[in-house]
Amino acid sequence: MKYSSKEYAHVLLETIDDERGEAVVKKFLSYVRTSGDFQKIPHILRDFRKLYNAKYGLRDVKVTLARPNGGLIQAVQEKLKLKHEPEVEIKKELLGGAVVSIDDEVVIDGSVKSRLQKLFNAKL
Amino acid sequence: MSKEIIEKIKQEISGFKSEIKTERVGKVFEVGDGVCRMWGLSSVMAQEMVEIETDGGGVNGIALNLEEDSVGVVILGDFLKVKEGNIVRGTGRVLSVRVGKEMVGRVVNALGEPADGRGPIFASEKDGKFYPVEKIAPGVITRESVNTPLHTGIKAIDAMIPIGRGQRELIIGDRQIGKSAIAIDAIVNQQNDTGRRTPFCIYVAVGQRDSKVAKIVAELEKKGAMKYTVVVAASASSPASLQYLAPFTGAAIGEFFMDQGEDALVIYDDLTKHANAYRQISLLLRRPPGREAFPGDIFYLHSRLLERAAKLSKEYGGGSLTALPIIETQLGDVSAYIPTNVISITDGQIYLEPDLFYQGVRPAVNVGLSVSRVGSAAQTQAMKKVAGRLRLDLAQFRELQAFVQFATDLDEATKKRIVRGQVLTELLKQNDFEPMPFERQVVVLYAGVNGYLDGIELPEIQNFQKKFLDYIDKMHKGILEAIAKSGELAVDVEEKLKRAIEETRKM
Repeated sequence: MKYSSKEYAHVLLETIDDERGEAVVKKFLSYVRTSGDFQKIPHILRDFRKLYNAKYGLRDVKVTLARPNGGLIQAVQEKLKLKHEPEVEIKKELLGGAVVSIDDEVVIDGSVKSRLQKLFNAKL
Repeated sequence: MSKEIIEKIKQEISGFKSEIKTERVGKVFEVGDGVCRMWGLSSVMAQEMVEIETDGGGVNGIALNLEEDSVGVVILGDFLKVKEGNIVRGTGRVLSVRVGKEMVGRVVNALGEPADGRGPIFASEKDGKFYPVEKIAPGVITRESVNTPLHTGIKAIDAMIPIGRGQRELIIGDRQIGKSAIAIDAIVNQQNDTGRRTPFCIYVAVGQRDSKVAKIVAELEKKGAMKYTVVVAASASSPASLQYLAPFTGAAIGEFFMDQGEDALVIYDDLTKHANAYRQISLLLRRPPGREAFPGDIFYLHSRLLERAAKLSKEYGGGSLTALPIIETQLGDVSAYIPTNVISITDGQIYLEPDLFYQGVRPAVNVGLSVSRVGSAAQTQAMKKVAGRLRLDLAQFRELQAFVQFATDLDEATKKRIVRGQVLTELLKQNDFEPMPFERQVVVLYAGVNGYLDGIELPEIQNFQKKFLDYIDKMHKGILEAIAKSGELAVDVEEKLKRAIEETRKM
């Protein structure tokens, strides 16, 4: 019987715990391989992450900045009520401001680069 | 001066307001040959244009497959730039092209962008209108039946397989047999049809060689036909996604003219390659393959495209969109999947036969297998008068053709029928890019069906036709003008015509 990536992810989430995490993962991967579903691993991982975040009330947040700015990161953490610090990436080409990405599905782009791009598109 | 410019720029910048918005985005997780799949972008519409942010700039795509947890996107630009992890943004609008009268005389790609190196088509952002590439065809209420002829300038077609404005007539045949030539002749001939509005013509080249497209454009320019023609080119080197889109873009351009109350003629050259491009995209998007590996909606792909051909009623502007799709067959096999589909969708077909082509009958139209289901309602009275007899004479000739080699043993009546058939077949021959205005066709065919040419040697028929038309041009121009103006062959004009034929025969 074929299982969807969501079903695999669900089973993995239900069986995994801190004590026997590694053993469960090993067994899980061997089962996926013998079922001929190894190509589904990226999908399973993504679905697992989604289910895991939903279960523990977590969010994958990434803040991209032009230069380090601790205050801004803290503000993001407070605003989004995050339980952990967001992932931070430094990209000089943003020139200023920040880009906040939530769960790879929602983006809040407040960078100087995108504003300049919008200005350029609107006026030319 | 420079200070003024700087001040103006400052003003513009100070007046510019940019809001920070929350956007829904997707992330590419798989890239294939011209397609990619992504996660996210959960609110994307089917057929919505999306922009993929790559290191080399934005690349456009269309969201075609909306699945449970991913979206299949067809990439419209350079797919080699797209990489796993690229961010994808929705544009919120269904794929559309900017169309307008400025496009006339230009060669554009499947996105309506210039492809002839002659600069931008529209002078400013405000010019032209955005037309969706996919549009539901006009409904029953808005249409009326076909009632105006669209003359192709080819005697065999205008007489026996007439096409009306708003009709869909398929041109079908093997490779290298003159299918495109018929379509090009039809475009060139529109300037000869002076009694009616000149339709705007759109030639859509799908999967053709670039050299062929260049040759066609050069020929149209030479004949002065680019003045009312737009060429949409998605050549063999274009990505399959653009080849799939090109006919829909052609239809959108045609619809623009139709909505303006004008007539338009769209030629899809050819839908076999279009079906192949769609099959490629569908297989890459992992849609289930059906017969000959085509996807299940291949019929709907062509039916929704061709259904957009219409003759609108006067209340809706009275415009029309005529479609001449072309299908290439393999060894004359019309029972293959795509040919049977398109035959059943269209209002008739012009069947070109290799045997006739190699016998020297060009255009190689098989008048027995070709039909036009609605065009006769649009045929002029003058043409109807000669075409009825022509069809009958040729049908009888076809039956007797097997006996041609035993002609000496046949009775007089049969011999006469065979001779008449041979004369008419010779008379229907026509060179490429030499379309004939319909009034000239009427006088020539009148002479043929009424037996005035029966005594002439077969190789001399074409010469006689030329001589006769020259004579009419010089001595009886009124005959042609009267037929062109009224579309009828009045009794007095018929008498004059008879005299003119007899005078030419005596020469």
